[in-house]
Amino acid sequence: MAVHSQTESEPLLIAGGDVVDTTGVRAADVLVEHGVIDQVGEGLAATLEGRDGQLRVIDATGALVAPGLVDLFARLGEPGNEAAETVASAADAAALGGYTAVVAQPDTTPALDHLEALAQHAHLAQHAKVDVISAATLTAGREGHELVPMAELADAGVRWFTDVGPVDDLRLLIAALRWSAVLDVTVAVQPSTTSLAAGAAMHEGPVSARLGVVGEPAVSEEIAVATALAALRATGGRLHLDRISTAVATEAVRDAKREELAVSASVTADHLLFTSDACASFDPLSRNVPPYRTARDRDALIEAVADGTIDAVTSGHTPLAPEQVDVPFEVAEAGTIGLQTAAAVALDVAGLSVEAALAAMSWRPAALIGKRADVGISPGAPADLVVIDPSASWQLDPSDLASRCANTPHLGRSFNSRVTHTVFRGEVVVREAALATRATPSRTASR
Amino acid sequence: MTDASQPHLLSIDDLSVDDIVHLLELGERFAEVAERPVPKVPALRGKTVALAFFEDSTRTRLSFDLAAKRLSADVLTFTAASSSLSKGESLRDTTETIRAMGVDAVVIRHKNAGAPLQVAAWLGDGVSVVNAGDGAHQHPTQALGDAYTLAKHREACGLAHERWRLDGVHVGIVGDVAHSRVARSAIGVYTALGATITLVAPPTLLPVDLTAWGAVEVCHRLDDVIGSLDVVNLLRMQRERADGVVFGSVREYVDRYGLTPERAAMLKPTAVVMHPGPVNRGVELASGVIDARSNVLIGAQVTHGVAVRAGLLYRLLAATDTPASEAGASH
Repeated sequence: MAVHSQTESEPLLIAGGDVVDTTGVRAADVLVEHGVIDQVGEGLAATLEGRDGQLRVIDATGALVAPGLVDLFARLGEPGNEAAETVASAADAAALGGYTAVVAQPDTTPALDHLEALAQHAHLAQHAKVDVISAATLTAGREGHELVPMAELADAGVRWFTDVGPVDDLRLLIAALRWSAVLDVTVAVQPSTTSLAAGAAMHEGPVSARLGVVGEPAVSEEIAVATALAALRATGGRLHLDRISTAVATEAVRDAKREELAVSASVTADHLLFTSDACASFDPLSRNVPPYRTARDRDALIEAVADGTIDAVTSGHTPLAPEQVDVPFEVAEAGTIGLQTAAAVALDVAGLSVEAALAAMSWRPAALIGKRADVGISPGAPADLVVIDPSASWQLDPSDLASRCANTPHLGRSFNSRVTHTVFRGEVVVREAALATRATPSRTASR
Repeated sequence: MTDASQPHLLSIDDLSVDDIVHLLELGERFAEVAERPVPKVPALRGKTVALAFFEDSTRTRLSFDLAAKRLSADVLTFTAASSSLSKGESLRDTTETIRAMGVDAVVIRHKNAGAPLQVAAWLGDGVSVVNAGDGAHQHPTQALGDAYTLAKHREACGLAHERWRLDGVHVGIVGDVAHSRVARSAIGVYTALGATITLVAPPTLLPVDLTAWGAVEVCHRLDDVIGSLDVVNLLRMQRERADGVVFGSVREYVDRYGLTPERAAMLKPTAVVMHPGPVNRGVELASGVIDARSNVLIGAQVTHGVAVRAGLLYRLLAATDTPASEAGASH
């Protein structure tokens, strides 16, 4: 048997799947060459029979083939929390979760608030298995007092500014939004009212009343959303409402979009699943920012993702070391890792079609960070792709986790959808739901 | 607690009405033990009970200590001041320490809500966990002792219709309900025994959403309801709540919610006054009321707390086939 040496420069055929992109769902094979999509079409595989020996092949029969997922919110741990995560380990987790791009949150230690810090961060990410897009903070040191040099950072390529939390100083928020209009960048705000969120460990409602735990009321978010939208209306900038959680906020965003304000919004995948009932056993992994709210809020969030009011479903990836979560519920750090599970969670949400879930995890967030998303899966588009088995029955096992930490509420949960392959810039980085360590076997080699 | 695989007492809400009545009956047997010349039975000889008090509480700790010793259990005590249990060690590490000590039960007091539940979940089977007060969440043995005290008092006064039941009894829980573990446990136990409950508190010291508590009534002025109460269950008021947001001043609180001599005079003749202690004299309860009235049950609450805790430890730790009477306790 002739041994065929495979190289990544060989064309890659993704055969037998249903392609899902901005244009809908259609049966089609996809041929990738030199890092871009070369051909797309039904029956394409048959026309390539003669080239068997020179092809790498992914059998996508029964699977979905979509543009790679884009995460608007992931904390990558590095620098500062390397005990829990590094850029490399987070990028592996992201690839396993079907992502080909993640917006790295700048609330690192030290914070990503100046050019040099961002350049160092980019250096950490240069061999990552996904495109790591570093956001910059909005204020120096995330202290909320002084804007970062937004123009200088924008000139260097920064497209996303966020303090990864609320912006209390409204003079500062308005100034940032004014800059965003001029610089064509986005200001992201997590809408929460600091005085109402102080000391809270969960949503304020019947569950917090029974548990005797301080809750953050929904009105904390509602006031902050109304305030931020009023500021946006006054400035004409570009605002992203990062991780909203309440029904009232979804209504406010819907109205603002009707008014054609340049606002976008996101929600984490886990907020489409959990309610404050999850806190009833005092599990620290049921804490999140914002807190999980009521079933009515969760249903409104799902509806808002389905109709596009909420642009993006994020992973909310927040790596935490054991000493940050193996403590009393009331003092535990909030947040969970989500890069490896967000797609499975979102695709399993009843009331969210496959197309709606993928729109919110792929092309809509891609457009928000300035990637060409309208081209979908068509010749000439970049070969950042994900293959998803929609009928895989699987459970998350601790040994599956690429993250250095394990603060996920999903261990042992059964999922129906699973990312089986991720293709990043034409390279197969995840194969059969595992990180690829060698090239995809060609048809010759597999015989 | 009826489920043998979960031999804990973490919340009143985990108990059925039958569980509660059974614990009160056991408490009665151990109250009798306390009357003997040698107030001790061998029921838990060879068993070890750890008292892990991450938050100071001399009263509750001594009560459990005495209860365990009446049953001849060995007692290990850890307090925040005397051990490293709470200094920089994660709750999970502490749990492993408890497991490694090989104790039969651990009684946990913690300033954070839910800590005993987290320890119980991590420990798994084999060690009984008793919640001795966790943040603003629960204090189930306080509530059981209070229910015992109330039921015995009403029985002695000829007011009881059915043993342990509190049907038709109107209980006012007065004060800082929002931050009170005593209130949360009391609501559970009194409701289970058939009492009617009115929460009397400023709106800022009540949880925003009370739906989890079912049929409780709410009243914002003690004067409006005091004449109809059979029980005035006062809660301890933390002076630091008078911060200008929750309410304006201690004086304003006393004015509307304090049990002053004038208000005490409005009580029904058969009504009783209860308080989990320690009392802020002059805030929730006037000195004159504490010292003058025979129907202030605060001392009995302390005495009966020991008996009920002994009954609980017996229930959790004694061999299930040994009736209490054979273990040394009798009617």
